[in-house]
Amino acid sequence: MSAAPPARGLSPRSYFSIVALATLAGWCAFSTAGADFARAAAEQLHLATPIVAAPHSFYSERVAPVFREYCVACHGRARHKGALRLDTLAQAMRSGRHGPAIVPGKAEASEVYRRLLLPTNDPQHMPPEGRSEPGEIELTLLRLWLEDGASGTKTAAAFPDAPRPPPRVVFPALDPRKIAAARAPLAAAMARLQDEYPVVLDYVSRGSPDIRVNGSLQERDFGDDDLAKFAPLAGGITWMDLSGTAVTDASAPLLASMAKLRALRLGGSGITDATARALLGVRSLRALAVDGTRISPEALARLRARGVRVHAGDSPELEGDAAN
Amino acid sequence: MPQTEANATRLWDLPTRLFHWLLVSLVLAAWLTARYGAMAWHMRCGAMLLSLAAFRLAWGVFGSTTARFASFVRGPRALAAYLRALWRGAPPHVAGHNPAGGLMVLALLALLCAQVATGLAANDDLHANGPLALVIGKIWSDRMTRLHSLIFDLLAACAWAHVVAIGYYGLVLRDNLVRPMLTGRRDGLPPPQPPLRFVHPAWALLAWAAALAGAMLLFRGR
Repeated sequence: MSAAPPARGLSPRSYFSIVALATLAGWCAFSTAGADFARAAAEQLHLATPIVAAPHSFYSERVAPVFREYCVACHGRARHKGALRLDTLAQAMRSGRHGPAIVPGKAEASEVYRRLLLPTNDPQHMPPEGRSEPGEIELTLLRLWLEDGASGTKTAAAFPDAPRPPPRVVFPALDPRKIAAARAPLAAAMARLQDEYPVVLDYVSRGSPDIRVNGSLQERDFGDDDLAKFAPLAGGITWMDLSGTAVTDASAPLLASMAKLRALRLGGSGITDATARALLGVRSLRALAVDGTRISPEALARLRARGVRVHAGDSPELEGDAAN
Repeated sequence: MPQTEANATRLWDLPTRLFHWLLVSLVLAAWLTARYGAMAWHMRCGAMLLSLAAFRLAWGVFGSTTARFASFVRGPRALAAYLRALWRGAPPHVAGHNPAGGLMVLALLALLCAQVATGLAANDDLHANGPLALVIGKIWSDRMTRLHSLIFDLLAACAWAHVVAIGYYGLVLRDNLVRPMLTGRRDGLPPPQPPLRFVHPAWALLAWAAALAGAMLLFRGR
């Protein structure tokens, strides 16, 4: 081996300065992180306008949720297929490897929209096969927003033709302890009677202490003696179906004592006007079905005058009354 | 002694040089095809890179002197001594890879093998799956895909470091290392002792053909 001649070219300092600049330029040009850095630097130097979506803009409230639902799993911060990110407005406006993802004012020229419209068997169709597809409403929202210029500040007022958002249904969280506490006064009687009448007796819903009784399941095998056993639960019963049972006016006092009873079916049972008179005292009663009984029109009229909806035939409304 | 092509010392055999430049071309092609979504071509590049990696590993054991790992893999002391000389601007000429270059060869080869291996199991969440992607299941395939992306960043960083190093030799030390990798010969180098041994290229062709057959078998249908 022999030693190389002394260096005669660029100085190491000059050379590595050039290398550092070239490395930085390459990183900014070819990497996602570098591109983000370059944009942030440009915005800091006021060479580029920051793109920010207003909190209550049409984009934030209607368009961004569509991207979150159908796109961000593959085009977000953690994963960005095709170097496209749709998790923020700034990224959506600037990122994307296969052409401009968003062309303000032109929906069909915007890649994010064009690919949604492709046939599902097209390899470029988005979302990919097997993933949930946006519906007509979401596509309309996206199209309107793009054609209007892909603004991050305009509110819903600027989009009068936009489909209305679906109503937000919020189910209150169930607190098992509160439910148990509400059910506690009648819990022991409830448990005992459920053992004897497993199908007939239950709570109205899993979060409610209200009780429903469906004696009609036992038809003529369910009579006054059976109903009498439910007396301990009288204060909690809100819905009762005794249609087709053998219940008679003998149960009228018990029925009159049910202070929370809202809906009652007695069609085809053995009751008469005596029960109708007793029910006038149940202030909570909203609906009553008495088809096929011997209650007189005058008794029915009195009940109606007190504000009870009386049905002579089938009464599907009773189901809803129990839930209210 | 006048420096002429006739006086230049033969260093790199044809298989090694072809391997080097094919590797550069195919890695670039693999990157471009992935970047622009041409996944069928991307996998063809991957199959070729697999065959090249397998060939180079074999050639590093059985090939010409300067291609063999045993001729350029040096310990930390030799590496440190070489780097000190390089820093002073007077690194000794080496017939073949110098200690720093030898380390770069190993690093690049290891990353190449890792990149090909993870690529075999990667997927693009659309229609392109490596030959082993469905075998190992989606969760592991996704992990391999992330690794495949990460390893490429490391590979690109090492390749850039390699280019920077070659540039340093060329622009600072005025020692052109690119030309020998093109022509196979290097000026200003006394004949190595003991003389370098060159294996006939036909053996290289045989080794590469076998590697390519294996790669094609693995990628059949893709």
